Amino acid sequence: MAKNRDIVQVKNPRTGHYVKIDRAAGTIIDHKKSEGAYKDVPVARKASKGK
Amino acid sequence: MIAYRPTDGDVHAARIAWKPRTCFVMAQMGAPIPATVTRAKTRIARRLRQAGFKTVDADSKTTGKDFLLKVWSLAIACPIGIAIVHEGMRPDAMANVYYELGWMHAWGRETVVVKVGNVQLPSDLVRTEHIPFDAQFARRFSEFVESLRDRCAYYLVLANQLEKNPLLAIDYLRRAYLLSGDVAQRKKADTVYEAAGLANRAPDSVERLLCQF
Repeated sequence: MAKNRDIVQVKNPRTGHYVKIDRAAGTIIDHKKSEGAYKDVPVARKASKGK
Repeated sequence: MIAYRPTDGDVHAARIAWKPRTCFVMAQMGAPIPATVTRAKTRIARRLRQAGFKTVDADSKTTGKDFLLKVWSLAIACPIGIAIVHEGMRPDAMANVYYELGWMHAWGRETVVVKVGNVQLPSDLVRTEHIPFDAQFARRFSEFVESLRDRCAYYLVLANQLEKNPLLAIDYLRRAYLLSGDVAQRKKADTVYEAAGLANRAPDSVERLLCQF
């Protein structure tokens, strides 16, 4: 199944859990309760600039 | 985010004097303050200074105006909040500290509670990060300070991913800016603001105030 490029995930450093983001809708759509990343969801990379 | 003043419940329709790379320290202000609390404050300030952060508290500024409004605007303007609670602390002082900590939680600030002595946290705060002032304090507090860089990076990633939601993206950019002090994040917020077609908003509009940092 093709990946939906508008859905990405990012690890929240405060909780250590991943959050899932719908880029097209501009919303956080889910917070993972368990360890590890969502399956088949790309991890958004860090911004290239900033501290 | 719309800010409601704690004094009258009206919207705070003025620019907030943001304090990037600054930590608001919440602790008992009046005497008697145990020597261990003073030591904790000193070590917190020293470690934060090493990392390039300033510390302020409720006594840092005299405005001659309403005290509660002064403390509120100082607390929400800072990216980091450290609450120091100690054994034997006056109940009114303890309540003030938790009240101010609540403001900072509501604004998404990076907070930690430092416990001096055998003091129990209220049940609403049991999941709040806390560090005992003991032999492991230096290591644990350093870990908290070092985690701030990761949190800033996280806010930047979210700001980038949420550009279709411009006000939310700008809010994340502001949180990142407050932690980093990097003006590039302020400029990026201006770009997001312009791209969202918000340039014709009134000077004191919620959208314009959000972008002014």
